[in-house]
Amino acid sequence: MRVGLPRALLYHKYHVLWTTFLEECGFTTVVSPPTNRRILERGVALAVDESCLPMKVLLGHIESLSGRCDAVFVPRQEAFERGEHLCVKFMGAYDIVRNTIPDLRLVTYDVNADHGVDERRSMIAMARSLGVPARVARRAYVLAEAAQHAHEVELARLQQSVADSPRSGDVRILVVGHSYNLADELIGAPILGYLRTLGAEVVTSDEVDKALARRTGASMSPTMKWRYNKELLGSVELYRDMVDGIVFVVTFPCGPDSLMAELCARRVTGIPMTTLVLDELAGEAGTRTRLESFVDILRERRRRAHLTVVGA
Amino acid sequence: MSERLVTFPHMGEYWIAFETLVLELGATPLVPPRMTKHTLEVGARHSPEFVCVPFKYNLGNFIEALDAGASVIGQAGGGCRFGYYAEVQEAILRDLGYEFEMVNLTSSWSIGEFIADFKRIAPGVSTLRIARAFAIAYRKAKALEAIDDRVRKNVGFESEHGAHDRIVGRFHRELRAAGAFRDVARLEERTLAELAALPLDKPERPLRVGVVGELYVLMEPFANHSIERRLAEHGVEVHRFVTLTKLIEHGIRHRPHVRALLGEADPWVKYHLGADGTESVAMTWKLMQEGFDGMAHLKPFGCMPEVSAMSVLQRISREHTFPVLFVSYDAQTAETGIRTRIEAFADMLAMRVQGRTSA
Amino acid sequence: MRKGYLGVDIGSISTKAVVVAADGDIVASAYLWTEGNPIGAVKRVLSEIEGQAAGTDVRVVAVGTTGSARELIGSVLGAQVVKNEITAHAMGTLSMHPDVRTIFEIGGQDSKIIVLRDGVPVDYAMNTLCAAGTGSFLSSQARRLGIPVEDFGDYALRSTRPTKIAGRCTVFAESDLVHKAQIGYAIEDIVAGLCNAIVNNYLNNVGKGKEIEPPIVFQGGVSKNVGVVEAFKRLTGHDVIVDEVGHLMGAVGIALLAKSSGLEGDFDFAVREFEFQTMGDECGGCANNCEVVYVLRDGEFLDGWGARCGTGIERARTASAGR
Repeated sequence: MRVGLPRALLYHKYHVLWTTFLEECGFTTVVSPPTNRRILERGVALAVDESCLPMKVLLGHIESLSGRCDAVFVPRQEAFERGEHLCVKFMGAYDIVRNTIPDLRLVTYDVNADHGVDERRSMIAMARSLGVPARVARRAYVLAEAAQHAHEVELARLQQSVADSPRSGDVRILVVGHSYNLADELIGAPILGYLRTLGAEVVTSDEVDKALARRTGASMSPTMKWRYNKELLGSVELYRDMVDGIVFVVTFPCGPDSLMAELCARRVTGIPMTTLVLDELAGEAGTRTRLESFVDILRERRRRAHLTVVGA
Repeated sequence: MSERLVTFPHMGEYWIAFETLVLELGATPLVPPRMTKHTLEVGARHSPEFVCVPFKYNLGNFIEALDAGASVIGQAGGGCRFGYYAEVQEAILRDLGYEFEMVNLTSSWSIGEFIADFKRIAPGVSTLRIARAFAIAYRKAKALEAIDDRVRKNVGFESEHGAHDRIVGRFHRELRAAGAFRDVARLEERTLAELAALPLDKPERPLRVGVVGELYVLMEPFANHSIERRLAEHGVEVHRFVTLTKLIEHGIRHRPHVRALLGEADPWVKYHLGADGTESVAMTWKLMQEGFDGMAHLKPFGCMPEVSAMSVLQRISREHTFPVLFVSYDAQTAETGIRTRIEAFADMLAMRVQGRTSA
Repeated sequence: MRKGYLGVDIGSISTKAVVVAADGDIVASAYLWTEGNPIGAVKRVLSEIEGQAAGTDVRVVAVGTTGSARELIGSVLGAQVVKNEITAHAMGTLSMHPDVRTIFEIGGQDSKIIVLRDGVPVDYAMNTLCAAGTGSFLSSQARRLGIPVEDFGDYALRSTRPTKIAGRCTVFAESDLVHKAQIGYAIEDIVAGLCNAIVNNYLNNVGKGKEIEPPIVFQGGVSKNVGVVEAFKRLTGHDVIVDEVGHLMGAVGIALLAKSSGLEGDFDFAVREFEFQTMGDECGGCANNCEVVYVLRDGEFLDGWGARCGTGIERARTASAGR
């Protein structure tokens, strides 16, 4: 059986876990291509107009898998740990897809720590329902989990190397955004790429020790329940002394991000920040102008700081 | 230090219950000034640009109440962005230079925390007194809801214009003053009897519309541009199911409630959509099968749980040719736009019925 | 003498009026720009209608008004029926295209879709938020590009490779448009791109989740733009009917609604001779400060709107009496 994985939402975080698991269970995995114009246009056409951009991207990817696999993998995630939440779009994703593209066969698993539905049991149950023997499924999970863990350790090591290494450009910028936005070929990649062509060194919020970032984020904002926003907020605190400026990449009209960016601007001071709000039709021209002027400002600040030090 | 004046956000006429709660806890309430355009203007000015609109209304209430002298703010919350309001609002208000104490009731789904929060509102209050204060406030909220429900169903058919409002106006005044459970119960009973005695021009089979969606815009007529009343004025019997006391009951019995809703939303939804999303689907499906003429689905612009529900509602509406009016509210929503849409919706429902009977 | 019904549709951009005879025959029709002055526009439109109707055996026995200034003009004309434009358009279109199943409408300020089955409107939607993708958006973009909006369609048809334009939001669209023009895209391709953007925006917003089935009738000011019509045909995969008298559908519909109301009253074209004055005021009765709009006929209070409660209208009445 061929299982299709949409290259959207949490694929960008858990592709190692998912592909390892599915392949160890004996399935062939088919991944949708990096987001292109066509995928985005189809997603926009399929989704409810007020959906957020990542949801539109997801729907476009899912449709692009239609006919290329026997079933599409759309997990449903509510909470990985007790008392912690994901944005409700992860809770709704499976049912949104089911009602938007009714004729597609889907496979899913549910994670909801608050109700004692854990990832391991849920993934194994999914495999069992597809005819995978329990022993094979259990082993597949162990292997997948280990591979995912190794992947995350590697990401955390990257963060440490940023902290230890000398700057590669004259300005260093932290780009804060959900992994599914930053890693997306059409959403985040052009921004990261453009900043680099401007000569800036770019670090992203994705390159942090996630558990550490969540703890840091939680201490900065005690009532914030969203797991990934804790990571983003934590990354700001962990990196703020190592960078010259921060760019928030927010997709319209993301609720958690709008509140988090507001809180961040009020709690974290002394470092230039800018927010880019992207929607599916945001012209690239406006984005470029903003990034360019932001980088100019950072350069000017560094030059002045340098002058002050020299003059003192 | 000057007197502690406790305030809270507005939501419909629930301020009567909130005021009683604070009073019975032994603290001094400060009811925020009535909602006006100024409330929204000042709230929106200090809010993040595309946060959902209830945030802006709440913040406006707080600013107006603080300007009137409030020193303690009680804020609650729900399962989505709403649960994070209090912390961000506190940060905004502090940056504006206000001094106050914020009691965030969001986190407290455990009885112990709940009691601790109430003790912050009224230091030194006994647990017994908290239980009584909560119970009487809850009873008043129930009474408000019972009257409200009756009015929604009948006000569009009153023979004498303004008759319902007259009775309800007096009910609100007396409910505010009522001190004992018995008084509230008698008042509710009497008011229902008075409403029942009003002459109506109501057809045997009136148009029936259910209203579902996000809790705040459902329950705050100022924010939804009195959509229930406007529907009623076009000869519609309006039904709504989300109320404050039901939300509290569902919050306490969350899991069985969600399970029941998923049963009703079957086969459209397999998992809980978050906040009120599953309920919007469950009620729409249920009412359609009960022969309702249409639904109105209300949400703040960008409200994710309701946007999720919309993808299901659009499918139900399409596959069963069942009319659903979708309305999104933000700070710029224009009164005239809402009126045109409601009038056209009511016209369409009436024409559908005519089309059916003449065919 | 045959009975006739006057229908007036006063939009933000244009004012339309018709007289429909009892048998459905349109005996008079007129169309002109509102120019920000609905009362003036109605007076002008009435003088045209009166001229056309004078030679017939039709006498106006009921009046209906629709469009954004329907209440004001309803009072001025003493209308029997005042209805929203969605209902009026549905009724008008049905009278000429009884088998229509979908109506697209893109007007000056808003856009809508009406779904009909067996001659009954069963579903409709209107644009949710902003003016992007409506007529006013199109004309402001035309101004930017320095070409008359009437020529827009022809420009679009000449394009072979339409440019992609951000159409969801006016602000995004403008910056995108300026950018594309500056980096040297052909103007035809930009115009065609705009037409596509409008249709895409319409289908993704207003048309989302609706069963779009032919026959489709496309109306409203933007339907005069052949570029948009072609884009609709291509993107829906169906033929799209643009009625020559499509702009009159609202007026015809409201005239028919006036007829079916059964209400009749005296109507005199001499209403033109009165001096009408509209006044705006902030009520001041409470912190809501509702903006009350009211109209005076020869200095006397006629009607008022816009208040959330009765106080504002009473204040306006008192204020105008003391004048």
